[in-house]
Amino acid sequence: MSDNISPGAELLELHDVHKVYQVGSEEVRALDGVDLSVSPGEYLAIMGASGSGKSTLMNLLGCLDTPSSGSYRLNGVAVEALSDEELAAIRNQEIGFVFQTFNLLARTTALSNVELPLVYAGLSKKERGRKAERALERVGLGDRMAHRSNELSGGQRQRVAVARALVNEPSILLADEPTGNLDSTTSGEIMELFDQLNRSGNTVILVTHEDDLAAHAHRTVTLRDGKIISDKKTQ
Amino acid sequence: MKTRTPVPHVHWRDSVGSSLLLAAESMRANPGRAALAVIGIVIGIVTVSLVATVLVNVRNQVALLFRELGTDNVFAFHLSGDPYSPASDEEARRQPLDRRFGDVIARESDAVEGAAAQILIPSVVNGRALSARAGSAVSDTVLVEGASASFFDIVGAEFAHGRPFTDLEDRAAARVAVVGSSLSSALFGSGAGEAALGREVYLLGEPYSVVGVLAQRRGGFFGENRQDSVMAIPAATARRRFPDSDATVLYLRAAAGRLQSAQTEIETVLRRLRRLGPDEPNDFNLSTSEQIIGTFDRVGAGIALATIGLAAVSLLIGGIGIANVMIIAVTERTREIGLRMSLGARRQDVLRQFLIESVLLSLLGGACGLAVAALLTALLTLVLPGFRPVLPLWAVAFGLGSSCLTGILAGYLPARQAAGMDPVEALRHEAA
Amino acid sequence: MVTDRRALRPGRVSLIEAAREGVGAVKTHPVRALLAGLAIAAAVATIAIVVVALDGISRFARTNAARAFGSETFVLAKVAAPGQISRRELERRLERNPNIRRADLRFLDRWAGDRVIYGATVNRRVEVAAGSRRYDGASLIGASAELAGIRDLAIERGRFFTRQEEIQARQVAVLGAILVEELFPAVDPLGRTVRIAGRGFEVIGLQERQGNVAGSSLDRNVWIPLPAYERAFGAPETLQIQARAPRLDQPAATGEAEGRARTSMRARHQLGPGEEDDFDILSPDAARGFVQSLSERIGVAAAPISVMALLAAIVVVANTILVSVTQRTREIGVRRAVGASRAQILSEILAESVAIAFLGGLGGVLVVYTLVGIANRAGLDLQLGFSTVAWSLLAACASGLLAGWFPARRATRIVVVDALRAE
Repeated sequence: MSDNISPGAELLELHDVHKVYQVGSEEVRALDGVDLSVSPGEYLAIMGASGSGKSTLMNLLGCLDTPSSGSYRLNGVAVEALSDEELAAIRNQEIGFVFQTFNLLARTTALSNVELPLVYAGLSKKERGRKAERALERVGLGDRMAHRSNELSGGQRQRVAVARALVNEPSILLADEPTGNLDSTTSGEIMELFDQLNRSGNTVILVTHEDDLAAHAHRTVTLRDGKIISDKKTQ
Repeated sequence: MKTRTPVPHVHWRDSVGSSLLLAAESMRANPGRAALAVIGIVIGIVTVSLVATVLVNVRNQVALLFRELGTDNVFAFHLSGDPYSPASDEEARRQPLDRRFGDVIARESDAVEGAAAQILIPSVVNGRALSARAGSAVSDTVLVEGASASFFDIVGAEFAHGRPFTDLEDRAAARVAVVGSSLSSALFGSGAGEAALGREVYLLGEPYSVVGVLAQRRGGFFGENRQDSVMAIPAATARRRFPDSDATVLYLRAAAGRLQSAQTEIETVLRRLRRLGPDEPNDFNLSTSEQIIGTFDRVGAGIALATIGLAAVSLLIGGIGIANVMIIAVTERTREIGLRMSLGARRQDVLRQFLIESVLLSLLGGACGLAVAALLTALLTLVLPGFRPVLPLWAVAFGLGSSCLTGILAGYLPARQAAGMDPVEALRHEAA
Repeated sequence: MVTDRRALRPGRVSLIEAAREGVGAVKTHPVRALLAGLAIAAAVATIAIVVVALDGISRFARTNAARAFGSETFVLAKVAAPGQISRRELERRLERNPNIRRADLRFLDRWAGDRVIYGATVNRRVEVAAGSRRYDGASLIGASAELAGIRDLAIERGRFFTRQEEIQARQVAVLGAILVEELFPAVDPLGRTVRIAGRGFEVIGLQERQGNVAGSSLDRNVWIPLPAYERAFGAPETLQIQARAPRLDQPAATGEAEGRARTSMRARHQLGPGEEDDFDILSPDAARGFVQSLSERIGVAAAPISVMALLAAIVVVANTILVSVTQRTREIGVRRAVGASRAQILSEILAESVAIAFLGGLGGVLVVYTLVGIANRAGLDLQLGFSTVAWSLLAACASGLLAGWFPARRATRIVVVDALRAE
């Protein structure tokens, strides 16, 4: 939770961010000058067709990648200058990912899955267990902790993923098409979960191409050809 | 009425051919994995080949060493084993053979064509170590022996320069000598050649004139043949100068093809000469070069087997590597197998495909291994003395054969597992 | 929460967690881990077997040498080991070194203190007769009485002669086992007379059968007091002195004894500080040396072969880990995404590799342990020492590290974004 930032300061600031890839002999401008500011507690949706650069933007926001040029300040820290190891630390402590394909460790219990970020944060076994249990209870899976991931339904797996994303109390929750592999009922449940998390103070950034999902968010940023073409408050 | 759907006849050549193509494909898809599996076999084949080459080489060199003593000769000595080794306790009381026995035997036995005597002189005589001196050069590894005039002929010694002793020189106990090639190099320099003839070698303060230089021996034990350090003087001279040295080896040449009968006849005559009663065992020892080689082979066989066994562990491990890769391949390609079966592949086709893949990997390893082994063998000739590169055809065939066998054994169970899959289950299998 | 760069704590590599993850990875794919472990087991077993065999040979040599020679006895002589030096050196020493006489022995005794015990021997081949029986080829040894305290003479019955008997030059004798057999097949030899060089000697002791050492039998000896030998054959040209530290409880006792013997002898021969010894001292180690060197030579040949086996096993493990990394690409991506550093991923992969190798090594050691047990029950005397086990396991772990290194590096270079996107 972002509680030690001076009021008015942004959680996340991108300024003139470019990302260029070399594909063979061609240059691909995935992001072509993006400026974005996100305040703590916001509920943001990033939209765009495939190829618009929304995936690239998400990777950048999640510190999975660094900009070719421009600056990215997360909680006041200049991310573009960080080393690989420092980025890993940021991902561990500041970012919570939720993926479309869940990306849980197979044949591992829900509890162990949720504990994974805490393992890398260096917490003791007891502390890890405690925090992981609490995270699972928070997403409503308190009774499924010992189940292995292949024994859970799609919806339950995504909940575990959300618990994992939350367990280290990150600054942002980054969700990439979180309901893409779920049926409509379960999708609804998961989106309800995100709404709830935002209401309790988490900053949620949703990446999606579906309008009805984006509608849950309070602000929508739309990308096309690597540029932000609209940034509207919707609620 | 039952109609039979004709089963399309796929020629086995096409089937094998397509299997080979598939195998090549899968190797290309996972080059790192295939390479490592092949390297495992290469290591195994190289180890076994090198060990085998070294062993064969040593054995051949030793065999040559003994054959250079004359393959038609029977050697008679009063002790068994190496004449230069001390007597075992049982034989310690045996008396040496008389050098004149040789002539008697040659006369009485018609399977024996000729005889010669060699008197062995120990390296320390009367508390003094023997060394050969010529000018400022000294050799203390010299092997001094007395030889009858016929010795060099009987043994078939090759002369690089000069000649053997004459009968006259022998009878007159002349102080002449025939030297081995290493001794000549040590005393007169390696390029001396003919210039060594006529030079004087001092033994215990007395000069001997060099009348002959022997050619370098071809056989040896790790490149060394002690016959190259020999200094042969006439037998009569040896008796006069070294009266206490009486250990005599008789060399008896058998007529062509009559080695067996020669040996029997020699034994009969010797028993008579040694006055042995009919129940008494021989108090002398007869052998031929082939018999000595046979003994060496028997002693060496155990060591050879153990060493090859040790080397074969590497090949076994290589095989484990192939098996591992095949098991992984089968698991990874479960869906593909299911697909093929649903498209009409029979179980034996699947089995064959994986077996061929396994054998291909192993053969590749075998071929590369043999190439590397050949290279290393060539390098060894530069480093080890007297080492001759020996990679006979049978070794190549054996190498390829064993890698082929390894491939079949390693790949069999995984291949069977693949062939035994239920196509429906396989198609449902989650991609690894 | 962090507000500045300094507070960022790049995750320390947690080795315990890495180990857990590594072992977990092994459990997930037991069959392929088993095969890879088997490869290491075979290689480790090969190495251990070679070490055990060489150690067995070495111990056999030492026991043998101890029987012939006394395990902590050293020899002082004009030339101690003629067979082990070059001919020229032999000649030089024969010329240079003076003979060792009884007066020298008395001198040494006077300066021995309590550090050394000396005994002298001289020997020759003789014929020994008892009644109508003769044995030609016995080894007659004229010795000091001290010898019984220096070497284990394996007196089975009776006794060795005393210092008194030695001073009196009593004609008494101790017989070796073969002589007993040959000369007294039916009666008890003790108290009877044997004839040596025309003189009668009373048999006062019998040695037990000791067998052969390096081809010669230890059972053809006849021991008589040195003065009695001298009376029969004249003063010997040179004596061989055998010596030992009286008490072996101190580790450096033998070294000290040797040192004192050397100083005493040098003083006796009035050698100045820079001058070379004009006598030989053969220490117990040197005597054992040549069989040791044989086993060393075998080791030199066997070592590269075993190393090749280990190399082949490393290749198998490397392959297994490589496959594991490839198959876990997505999982590695997830771990990186939730904050695992590259070093952490490296450790996890290496942990898997080391786990496989270590288990394999353990298996190999167990196999050798069983084989050694079987061999020992069949009559051999082999030993699987603790250090051999330790080194084998160490070699296995090192192999694991080596095998896993390259695949682990590959794993750290996985691009997270691609891995997560991969199908």
